Amino acid sequence: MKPLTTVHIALNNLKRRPLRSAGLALAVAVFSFTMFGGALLSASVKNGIDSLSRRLGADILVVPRGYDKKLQAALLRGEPSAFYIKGDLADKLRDVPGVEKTAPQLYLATLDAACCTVPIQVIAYDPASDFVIAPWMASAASPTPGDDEVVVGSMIVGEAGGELSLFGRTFRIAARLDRTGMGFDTTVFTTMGNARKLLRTAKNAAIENFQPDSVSAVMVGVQPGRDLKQVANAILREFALEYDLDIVVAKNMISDIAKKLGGLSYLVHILAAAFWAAAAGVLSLFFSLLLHERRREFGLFRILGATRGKLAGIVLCEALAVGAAGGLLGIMAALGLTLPFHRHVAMSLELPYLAVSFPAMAILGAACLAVSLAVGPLASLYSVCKIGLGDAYLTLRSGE
Amino acid sequence: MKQSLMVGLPIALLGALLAAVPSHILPVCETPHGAAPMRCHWTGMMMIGFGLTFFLVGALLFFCRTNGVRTGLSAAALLLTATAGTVPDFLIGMCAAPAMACRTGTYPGVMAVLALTAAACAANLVYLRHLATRERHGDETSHHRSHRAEQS
Repeated sequence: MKPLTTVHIALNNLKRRPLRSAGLALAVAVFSFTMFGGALLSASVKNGIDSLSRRLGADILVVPRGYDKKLQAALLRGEPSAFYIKGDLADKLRDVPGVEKTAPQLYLATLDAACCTVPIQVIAYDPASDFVIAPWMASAASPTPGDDEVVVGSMIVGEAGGELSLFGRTFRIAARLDRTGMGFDTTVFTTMGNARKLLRTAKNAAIENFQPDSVSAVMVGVQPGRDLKQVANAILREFALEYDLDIVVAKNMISDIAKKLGGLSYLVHILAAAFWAAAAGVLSLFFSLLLHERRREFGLFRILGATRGKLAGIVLCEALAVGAAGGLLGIMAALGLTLPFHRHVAMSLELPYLAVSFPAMAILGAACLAVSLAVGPLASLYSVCKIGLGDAYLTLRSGE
Repeated sequence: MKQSLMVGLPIALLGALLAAVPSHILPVCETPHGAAPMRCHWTGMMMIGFGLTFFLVGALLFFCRTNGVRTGLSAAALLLTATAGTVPDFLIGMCAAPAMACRTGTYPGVMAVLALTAAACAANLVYLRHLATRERHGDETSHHRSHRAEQS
């Protein structure tokens, strides 16, 4: 026979009423699911924003008028776009006061012929002037693509050393990039030389407004200490009419996304707080009812020699077990939903999304479990304080 | 009635859910106009077929009162989930690009429903075995009682 320890008595009490115990654990599980799932979501979007700001590199992005949203869609979600301005703009922008460096980029939209009918974005850059793509590509140990070579994002089909067909022309995959959580994951990178060669020979690349020296966007690096707004205004003043331009200030784009994340986090916190309060309310009500229902049982324990501390320990242990079971259940459910569906969630959110690492996930899970564990004992505190206050004999005889 | 609901309803509901995942809830990739359907399209069709089969198995489990037949149906459904699970990965496959709708939504959705269906079938088998054991014990006890009554 097992000894009558506090833990053993508490667990047996919970086992005796399985449906009621499961219901209580479920109340905690809903809170824990919301809190952990929401925290994972927010942390992943924050990771994505960090990745975006690390990789964006440029301070100002110059695009044809009306294509600023398309550029953002291409960078954030890899939505294929093709738009063009005259190629000499990059050189002229270098003469604008405050501009330190410029890098032209050429965007092409194609179909991923290796697998299925899905459009993919091709970004061509000039390795000689580029300061946006090459630095992080080098840090990811991916070489600059050579002649007839491409570097592919993590979600493009094909292994390094394999082949990829673009507009009917075959390219060698020089390297695959790590996950970035942004549009670069579904992007193919190549040099400007390769892209121009491709466009000259492409049979099915029907591109409007394209001139041989056209580019899609010019990335502008501003001299340190210069006001971005002033430089952007200077660019618009000098070139807006001649080139029909729009300007995207990278900092503003990132702060806009960060604002959306702020809204998401706020909603998650509000929901988690509401569910925590609901779980605490339900448990508190339950424990006060439980004290009333089991007053004769507690009276008997007192007569048998149990101290008030022992009785409080039993109730606290029950509350802790309910919190632990509910917390673990909620965390497992959130993991079961977010891990397999993280790409679907990322695409539905239309925000940069980079899943958090497993250690970070473990820390979030532990924090969530700690809060779930706390809800039970906190909710039962009032009932625990009242345990065994009356006369044990009278309590035992009450109701007779 | 309660027993029939317990063993039949979950499998019937999960079957309906399995059929709805590739067609409505998390649809497979759209076939562009004039293009040949992609692999995920055929996998989706297979899943609709499997879903309807599970739905019918659930209905049979509900209406059939013999525990032996129920055990057989549950075991067959469990084997069917294993077969259905090989369709998106081996027998037909899905689109290779990880960013496509079938890969991001349909595949995990279908696998999750199949896992739940397998769990429901396994739970049925355990429950029906438990019922059979209890019935056998019940028979033995009544047999012993009648034997003792005859002796006395």
